[in-house]
Amino acid sequence: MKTNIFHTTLVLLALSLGFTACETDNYDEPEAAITGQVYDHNGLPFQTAVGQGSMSIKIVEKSYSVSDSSVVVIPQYLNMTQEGGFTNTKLFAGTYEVCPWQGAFYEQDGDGDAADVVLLKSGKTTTVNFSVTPYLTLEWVKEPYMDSEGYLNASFKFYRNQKEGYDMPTLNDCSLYISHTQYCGTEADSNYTPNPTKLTADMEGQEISMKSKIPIRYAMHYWVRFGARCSDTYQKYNFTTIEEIEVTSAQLAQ
Amino acid sequence: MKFYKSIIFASVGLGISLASCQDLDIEPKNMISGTDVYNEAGITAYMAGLYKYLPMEDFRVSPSTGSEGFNGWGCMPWDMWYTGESVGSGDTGWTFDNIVKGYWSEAYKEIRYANDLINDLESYKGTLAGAEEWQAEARFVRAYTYFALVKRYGGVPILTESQLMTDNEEDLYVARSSHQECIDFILEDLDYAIANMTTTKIQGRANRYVAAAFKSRAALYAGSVARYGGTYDYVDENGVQVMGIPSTLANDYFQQAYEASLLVDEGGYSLYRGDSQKDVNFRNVFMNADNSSESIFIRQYNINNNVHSFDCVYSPPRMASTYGDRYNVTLDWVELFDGLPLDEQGRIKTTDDDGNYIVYDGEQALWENAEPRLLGSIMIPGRTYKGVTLDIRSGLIKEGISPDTKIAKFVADDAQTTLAYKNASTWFASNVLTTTDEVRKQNPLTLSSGEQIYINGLDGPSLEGSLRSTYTGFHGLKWINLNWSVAETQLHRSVNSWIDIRYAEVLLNRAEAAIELAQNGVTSVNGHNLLDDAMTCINDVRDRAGADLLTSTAELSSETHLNERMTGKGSMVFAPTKGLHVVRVERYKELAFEHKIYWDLRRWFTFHDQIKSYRRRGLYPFLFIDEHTVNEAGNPTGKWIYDSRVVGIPNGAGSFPTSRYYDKIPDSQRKINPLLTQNNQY
Repeated sequence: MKTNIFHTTLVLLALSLGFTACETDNYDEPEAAITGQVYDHNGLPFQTAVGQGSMSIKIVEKSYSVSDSSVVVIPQYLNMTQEGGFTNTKLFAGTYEVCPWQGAFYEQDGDGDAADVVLLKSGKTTTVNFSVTPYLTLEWVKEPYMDSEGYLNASFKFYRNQKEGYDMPTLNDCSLYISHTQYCGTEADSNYTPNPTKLTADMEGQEISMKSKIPIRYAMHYWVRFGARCSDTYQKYNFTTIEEIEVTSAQLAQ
Repeated sequence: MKFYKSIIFASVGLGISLASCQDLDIEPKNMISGTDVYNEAGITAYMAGLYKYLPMEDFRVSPSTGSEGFNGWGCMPWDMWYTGESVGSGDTGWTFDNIVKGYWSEAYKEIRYANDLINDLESYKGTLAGAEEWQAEARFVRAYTYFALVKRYGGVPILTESQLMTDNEEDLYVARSSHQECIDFILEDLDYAIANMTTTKIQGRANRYVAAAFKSRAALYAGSVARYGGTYDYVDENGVQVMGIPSTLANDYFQQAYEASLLVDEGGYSLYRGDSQKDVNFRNVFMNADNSSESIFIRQYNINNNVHSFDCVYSPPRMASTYGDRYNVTLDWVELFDGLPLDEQGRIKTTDDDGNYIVYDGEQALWENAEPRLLGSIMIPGRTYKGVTLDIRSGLIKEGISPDTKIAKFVADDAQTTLAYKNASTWFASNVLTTTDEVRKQNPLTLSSGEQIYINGLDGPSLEGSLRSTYTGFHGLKWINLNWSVAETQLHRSVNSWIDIRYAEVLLNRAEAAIELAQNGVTSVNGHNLLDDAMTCINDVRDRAGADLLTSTAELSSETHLNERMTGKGSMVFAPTKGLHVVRVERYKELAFEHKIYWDLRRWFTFHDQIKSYRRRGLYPFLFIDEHTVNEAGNPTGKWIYDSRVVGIPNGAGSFPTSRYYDKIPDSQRKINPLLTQNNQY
């Protein structure tokens, strides 16, 4: 009887020892949040493609590498909204370098992409805004409308922006994007989206009209925007805002 | 007595134990020492190891199963799926990252082994026969490996000696050299190899002409980067230009490429012309890789030690025991060839001037006058391969509809429209029969006569559903071993050789370098008039291919070329001038499916313009049930119409991101070598 109790105690002791090795991970879960908005040089929201299609926000966690340059930190990239906003609520607390990354705008402050250094704390949301100078500013001239033959039409004009100390990149092309969702960007319905138009310097400030490749087929809502780009390293687009148009069955080609 | 015995035993025991302590200073038997290696047999074995891990883009390039992209068995996804050459069911999207596998540590392993040999052999010169030649061969191996790195990453760390174990980790960190320094280092190794290697040809092994041919490739790459890569130049945090080569050096590298390609001629290589029928001849360049005068540098395989699975993975499914169908050649590529009816936009002309389909009599009529090289590169419906007669048909036009009927084109062919046939054309919806059955498990259609007929061709193309038949309407032929039966076509059984460098590539390297020089202020090199020589080289390739010849050097002009898809024949290929467009199209046609075009597009820096919102196109044949017959193989044929359009299933648009002109330095390597800077755009 005694030995049984003795054995049981031993087993329990061994078990408890075994379990203590499985201590729970006590590192704080990623609860820090960052949010922000990219503005153009006029203070308007910088129009871009949803996700990382036309730019992203690069963040580098510097907490461990500040004192030791041999620590190599791999950057993370944040997705964008189509109006140039970004949010991530699942980051580890720490010190981060944050900068707008590889979009259709001039580099900042002449020294690569100038990064803001921010301290993110658990449970808190830190806001970081940026201002960039886009290569091109696009403005609507005629917002999307349906013509009598059932095509979707629109027009825009563009202006080239300069930034002191930088060469203006040469112009490349522009496109009209027609989408079935509000996430209108470089990915749109290829059956409607016409082929790109080449841009030349003398077109600056002129009205540029484009229309859908084929007549619109279904009565529903469409989201439309223009994009234009330069021949720089990244070949990313500047955009107009997104305009929504409801096509009624009366407007479709018969 | 017992006592004596004990003493004897004890002394014997002592003696043994003491004796065993004497000669501990012997060579360990499980390690290979210098004396094992530095003799004829040892060094041959050592060199065989170097060749095995040479980063050759061959049949065993395999991002899915290999080690850092090489030496796998799956042979997919392949780079030609992203260049407009073809597509395969391993990746029907445009995930360029799928083929980037961070080739790095395997490279430095190979470089270390080569360095050991190069350095050790220095002390064997004069005592070991052939030490100089072995050393030169090891330098070729080192250059070949470095080039694999440099064309991926730009500048990389240059190591010329093996690093030794040390307590101080920091001693092992090496920073990247500039892109230009790396190229010059490679060319210096190759020059040494050219000067000191043997002229003897042994298949699968390099000699001085292989080194020269490889130099023409490497120097041509360097010249192109210098001339066209300026937009992507990048100086890293250490102040080193790790991406890009100064444009002032372009002509210098092109001249080196040109001169190296002239040197190859001294080796007596020539284009293979062993068969009188030109399409068969072109096919046999690859079938006869081991014996052909055109093969300069090949890799051989062996059923016991080193096999690949290309035939099984890439044959049409009916011609393989399993797998199959990764070799769907695009219509865009087919349209580059001579002898096809094309419209003004360079598209295959399958409709008349009113936009109604032209009716072709018989499944081979469209291909009657096609350039033989095309017929040697893809499979043609109605022809028999491996005992199987190719059966390609997208659907049937219903009974009672006469082939004389005027039928308007079903869907726009503008390389963007992706509408399904049934949505695009009401005529199609009510008069054309298609099936969603898997092509090889179809339920046949019973006609009013009682005859049974398959709606879809047994080799595709399938319009609906992903059912293991060609997406584009074409199956590739280049490299496929036609001597094999279907039953023999199994995984891990292929041993046909890969040709890494063949004379046709050297001729085209030479022509391209010549045109680059001629259009940039150099008219002759070593007494050769460059434009004349370029024309001779291109015409040599074209004549063997059965293509139309250039008639004058005026066709190689420096006039600007319009770079826009669908603006004429060859317009899928971009180039700054008309002359360069000619040679670039020639490379597309001659060197397709050989892991060459992907790297060409990268060094021309036209990738992002050419593959921009790019959708692949295919060709879809439909057969009239009326007036049809059945050919000897049992396949229906008769009156055909052909529709060209964006492919039915992998119809997504692809855009090459400019960041992929240089690969990303693997993060894992940057963590162990803090001096290693990352490339721009990552």
